[in-house]
Amino acid sequence: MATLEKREARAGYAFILPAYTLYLAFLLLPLIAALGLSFVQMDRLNWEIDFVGFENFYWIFTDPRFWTTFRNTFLFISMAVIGNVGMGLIIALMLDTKIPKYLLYFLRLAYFLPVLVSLAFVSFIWKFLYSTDLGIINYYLRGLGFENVPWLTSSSMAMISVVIVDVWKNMGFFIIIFLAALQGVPKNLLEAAAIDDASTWAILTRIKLPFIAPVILFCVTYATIGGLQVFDSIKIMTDGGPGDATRSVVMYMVSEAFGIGDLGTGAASALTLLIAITAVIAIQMFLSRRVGAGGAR
Amino acid sequence: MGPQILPANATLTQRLASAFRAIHWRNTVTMTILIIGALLMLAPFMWTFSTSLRPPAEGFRLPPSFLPTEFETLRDGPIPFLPMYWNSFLVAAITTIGVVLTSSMAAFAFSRLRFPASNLLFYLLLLGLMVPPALVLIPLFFVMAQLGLMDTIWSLVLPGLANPLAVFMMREFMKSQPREYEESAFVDGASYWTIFWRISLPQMGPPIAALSIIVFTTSWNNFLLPLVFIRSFESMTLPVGILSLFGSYGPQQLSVILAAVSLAVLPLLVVFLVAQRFIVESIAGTGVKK
Amino acid sequence: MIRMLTSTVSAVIMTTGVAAAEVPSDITATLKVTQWVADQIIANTDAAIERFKEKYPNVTIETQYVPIGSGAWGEYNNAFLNQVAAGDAPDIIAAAIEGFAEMASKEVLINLDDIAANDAAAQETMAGIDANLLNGMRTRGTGELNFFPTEWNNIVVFYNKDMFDAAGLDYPSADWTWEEFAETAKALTLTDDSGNITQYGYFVPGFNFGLQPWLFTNGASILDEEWKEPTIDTPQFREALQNLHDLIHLHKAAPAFEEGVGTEKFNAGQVAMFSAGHWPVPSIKQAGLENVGVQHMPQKTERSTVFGIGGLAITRASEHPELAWEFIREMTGDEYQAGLAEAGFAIPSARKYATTPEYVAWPDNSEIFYETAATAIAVPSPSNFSQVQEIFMRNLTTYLNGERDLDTTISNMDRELSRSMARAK
Repeated sequence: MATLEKREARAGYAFILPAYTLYLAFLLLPLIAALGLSFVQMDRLNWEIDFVGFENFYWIFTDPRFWTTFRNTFLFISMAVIGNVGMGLIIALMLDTKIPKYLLYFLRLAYFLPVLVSLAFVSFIWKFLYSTDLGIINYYLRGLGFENVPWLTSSSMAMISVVIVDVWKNMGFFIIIFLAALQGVPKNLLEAAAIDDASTWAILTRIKLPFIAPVILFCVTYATIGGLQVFDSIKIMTDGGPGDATRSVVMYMVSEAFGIGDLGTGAASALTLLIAITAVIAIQMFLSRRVGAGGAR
Repeated sequence: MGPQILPANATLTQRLASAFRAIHWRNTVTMTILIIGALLMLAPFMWTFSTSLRPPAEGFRLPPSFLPTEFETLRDGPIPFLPMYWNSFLVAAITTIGVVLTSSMAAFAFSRLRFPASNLLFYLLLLGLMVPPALVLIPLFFVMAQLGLMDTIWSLVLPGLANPLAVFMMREFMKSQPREYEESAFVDGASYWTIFWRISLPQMGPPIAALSIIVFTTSWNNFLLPLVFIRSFESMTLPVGILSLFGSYGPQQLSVILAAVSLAVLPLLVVFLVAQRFIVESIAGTGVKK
Repeated sequence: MIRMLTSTVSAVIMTTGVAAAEVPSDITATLKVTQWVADQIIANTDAAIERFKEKYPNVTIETQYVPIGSGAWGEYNNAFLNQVAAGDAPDIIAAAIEGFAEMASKEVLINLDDIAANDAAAQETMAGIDANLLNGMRTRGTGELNFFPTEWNNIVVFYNKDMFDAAGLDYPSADWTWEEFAETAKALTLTDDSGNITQYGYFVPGFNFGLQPWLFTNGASILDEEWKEPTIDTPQFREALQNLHDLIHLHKAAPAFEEGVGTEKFNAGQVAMFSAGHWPVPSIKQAGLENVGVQHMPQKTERSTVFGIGGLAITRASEHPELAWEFIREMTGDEYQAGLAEAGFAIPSARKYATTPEYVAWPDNSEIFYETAATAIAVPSPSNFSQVQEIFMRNLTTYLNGERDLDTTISNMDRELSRSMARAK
């Protein structure tokens, strides 16, 4: 019996070996190296390293711009998650009805197309569309008798505008995931509900949603992670502006580390973000366990 | 149920009324909303291609000369756009195959096999999910330089292969699958590799299709890594290639860039159309089995 | 390791002197050349490589290109420094003036003074370049010649003559003032029946380089002449910022401030005037605009404009500095300059190629491009340029978008810039 266990353990390690080696070499060890930098001051050109303890952390914690970017990131995440997962779910539920096949193909493609196009490029298109006085969106809004909307040029609008682009770009991904999950809802349950003349609402809340609840939570986690890493789109559309209104922590980090060349401060801000995000994800996972268990019952 | 059978002498009003009743109202409303939504999703693309980003009233001093001339410019211009296509394909294909294989293997271990510290190792892996790619860029830069891989497509492939999300996704899917087949195969004395290759993997058609789309698209559109690691046109991939087309001072050749982008999106469209069918069919297939 | 290599290389140069060493034509070597992406640079580099191959058949030139967005030179400088940091430095690096001090300050570039002094052809090239430009080539602070000139640019006003005609306005004169400019821009701003603006008089340049003349023409600047101290908190500087703010918000003669040069808006007929150097000329031509003129920037207290110059440098990490110099000569010589002039993007640094009848044929008044060479002021490019640009643009954007008042803007900019300059010393 012991040999069987050993054999199983050996197989287990062998099966995770390729993925884990790659993970260690190209993600975890670089991460540890990057985090180690948060306690030093280093000149990237001559490799002189001074250990400075928590000085880098002291610097960012007392920098009001850091807290602004921190707040921005969580604002972005909360809006983007609600938009992506919420609207994605609604549209997936609507698509999961009796729709002619050719139309369904068209709709799925239309909602998924933005996912396929490089963010670097769509951000550029949107920048044109959003232009306050010369942009196409405002051109049509004026035609409808509205005032110009300062999409990217006012600090109160800019965050909403970049979230809109994020939802437009990523919603299709969540729609497809939800559609796949909804396909898995047992047909016999739905048929039984139909025989019982259950209302659409009851079918939705009693059967469909509980069944796909784990997938919803997975999507929330995934969208949270995506929101945390947001960089390309904001970089191209507003470059963090106006002022710091849309600057994310990752942008702050990149500009400290690569722009100013202060690797230590960049790493310190990254570590702080990582701790915060781990806490958020841990909470979400805890919730997902409970809901997942409830759904199974 | 089927449509109501009307008497042959029914009046036009009767026929219309019948047709009217036959419409599923709720469905029509749903479909209308969905179509409007779809058009909104497509609007940025339509505007891009039809008006070259100018409000129509300004007149078309430059009518959107449609693509052929732009394609020629791309083919003959100083930036070798077409070889970049091949690079992008190579990077995305190697990454996709590698990730699918390694992550399903790891998922198999994490969901089917018991071994010491498996939970710890799994949670350690999840930590990687939270790492912004920009963060590990600096150390990766040195790793690539040390390995002599700077400015090669391997500097894009290798970091792409480290994909904890894929392991996580595959494990979740695999956990939801029944394990009877595997257990009986094990009792029959099959090796772990045979069980994985012959029984577990074939069950994972839908998640593999979904994962492949995600990995292929992400790799195809990756912008940050090539921006930092790639310097020569010989190894450049499309997103940075398209950025290069902008030239040094902004959007001076918009129509050429648009042509480049439509070319860049094309393979993804094909992948999606093919995989979409596959996802639907395989999911429908598993549904029948149940 | 990198350090050892650089000190060895510089020791070699000091003892032997690069120019003294003849490079044998059968040398086998590889040279890595990093430049920014631009059509004309790629095409002309390819041509230069062809020519170089005839002299040195066994030398391989590896070209590397870094794409950059709207004048984001800070990011380009950083890309290079990160490359050096990883031990992957090229032999030859191209830079605009914005990168000279930042790249050279890290002591990774060779001083080309001696080499150029012993090279008759190089002397001739230098003699053909305006003294003011040549002076701008030198790295401020050390006075070293780290970069050898290829091309340069300034900022002038482009205007659509058809729109002037339609508005019944005279074309601008060389000594027009800020006030006249504002009036002209207002007259060129058109509204339709329902009160919507269909054409703007001017596009306020949304990039660091393009904004400089609006400071210089009022005797203001971000930094002092030595590029050491910020000179933000002055009446002239305030006035210059206020003026741009007025064009957008008071006169409503310019659209909301956004990043970019505005070429595509000019080409599409959305704006009547914009500010740029020579680089948009091919695209304006391609867009089918025929009646276009250029004029000096309007003045408040003095006529002035900015200039920036680009060049090529040899890194200390290069194993073949002599050979690299030979290639730089190919990339800055007559054929290359002629190619640049023909492409029509940047202004060739050699006077004779920038003043040919073909070069000044279009747009109207193109003579002013090289004319300004003698008096233009170099864009402030200290060794912490990328930070200076970021601080200036970020604060300016907030102000011009009406998010913050002038006093706060000035004090924020001054505070951040002072800290950055102090750290750079």
